[in-house]
Amino acid sequence: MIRRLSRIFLGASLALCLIYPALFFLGSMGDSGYKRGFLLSSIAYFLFAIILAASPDRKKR
Amino acid sequence: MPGRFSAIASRLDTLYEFDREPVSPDKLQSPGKFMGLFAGEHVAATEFVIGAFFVLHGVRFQDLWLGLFLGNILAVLSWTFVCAPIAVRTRLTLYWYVRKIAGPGLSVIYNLANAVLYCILAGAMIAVSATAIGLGFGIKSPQLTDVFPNSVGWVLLTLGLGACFTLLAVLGFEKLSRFAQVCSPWIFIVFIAGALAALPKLGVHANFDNFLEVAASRIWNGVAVEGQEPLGFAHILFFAWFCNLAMHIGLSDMAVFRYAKRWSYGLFTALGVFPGHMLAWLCSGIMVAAVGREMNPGLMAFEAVGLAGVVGVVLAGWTTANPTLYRAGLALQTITPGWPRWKVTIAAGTATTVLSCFPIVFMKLLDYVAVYGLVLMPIGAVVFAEHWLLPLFKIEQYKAERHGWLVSWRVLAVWMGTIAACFLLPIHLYFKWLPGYGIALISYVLLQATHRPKPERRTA
Repeated sequence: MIRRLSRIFLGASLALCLIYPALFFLGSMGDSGYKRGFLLSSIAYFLFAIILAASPDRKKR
Repeated sequence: MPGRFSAIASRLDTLYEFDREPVSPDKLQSPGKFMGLFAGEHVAATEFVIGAFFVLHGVRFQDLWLGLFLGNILAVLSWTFVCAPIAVRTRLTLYWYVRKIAGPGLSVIYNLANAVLYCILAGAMIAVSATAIGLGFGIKSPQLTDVFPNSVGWVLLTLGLGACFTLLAVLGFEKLSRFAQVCSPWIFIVFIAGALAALPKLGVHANFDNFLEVAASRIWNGVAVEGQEPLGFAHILFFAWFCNLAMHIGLSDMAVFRYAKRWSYGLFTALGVFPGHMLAWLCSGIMVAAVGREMNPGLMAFEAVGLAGVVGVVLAGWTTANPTLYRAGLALQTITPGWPRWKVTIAAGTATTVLSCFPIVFMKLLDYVAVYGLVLMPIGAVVFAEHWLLPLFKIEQYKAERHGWLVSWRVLAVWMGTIAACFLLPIHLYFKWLPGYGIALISYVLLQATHRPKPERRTA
């Protein structure tokens, strides 16, 4: 369950990393807002990557 | 204390990874592992430099995308049809295969050359990462023309980063692959995000209607920066093809493909080279144009993506320097038979760290990449000829191993002769390797054919 949720959130945070610059490019967001959003999404990405790596994989047991 | 040290040492010794013998079937890796490894390898810190240099060299947009597209296809085909089949058939690293073909003496020379070249490349990765960290400490990055370090801060920074990278490289192939798998998608997004965010600064409209016009006039406008040689379509095509020459035609990636279940895993390199050696180069070109054509990867990423961009540059350097240091460790291991892997990697890492202090390793990166491939390519040609052509012409294989030669003088003559011939060829540095490869192949087969043993007479 933890692994599946982590995978979903990992993908979502990576998608956010793309959405923020796209919004900035389209003019819907300012420079500082985009950079802050990208940074937070990146932190989330690595956080979920760590959770995914640390959680036990049943298939491998 | 010595007992404690020896306990740590023996734990590190268990990281031994079948370097000296063919990989056993149970150690073969899944396609997913290869995808992660290649994706991590080709979205690297040096992509920030190479793509930016194309802008500084005044490459035109049309020449760039077409040259990169065709050149990368040629590179993938080289991995798939030249490197991977030999690796899968032998399950050996290039270093140990060269030992069979050219003798342990020449293997030592080759491995030393290989290790030095790998170390310089990894040094460039460290230097690029240092430009990013340097921003935070107010350390000035070197200029385009700098050869030696321009400040004590730069030296301390590169030494610190190099030490961190080396410690991680000691952990081994499996862990590196896992780390690259996690980092590579995000690093690639940093390039895309950086380019997207830089486009409005260059005047590109939100509907992209003037992108081609801006690309041709403000980014890849065909005007080289002062002191930089103008490059065209053929240069780009050849650069994209040869930028990993030592790995595919030079067969260094046998070290990786020996773990592949099939030779067709060579096609997975496309997952790395097209995002890394095409999209990432285009993105870094956009980023350097947005900072007024200043060659500073850290600044480029910071201006475009903020603090996350700085982290992206550091991680891009880290994930690529690690496999490069691993390869350097493999290369050095053959000349230090009594040393465990961790000790060899630390030796390679120390040399790399010292080299990274010199800005020339990344300021002359394009030429270095060409020379690097050119120096190692003749041995790839010799191995290719030995593996495929000699059986075809019914010429005896592995003479050095069978006769117990220390050095195969024929291999040495072909290697040095090819490099000399390439040096004398009156063509641009980027184009020299292709005729050189032909020279090496033909001259090696001819030399081996002229020294065939006389057939023994049959007695009844």
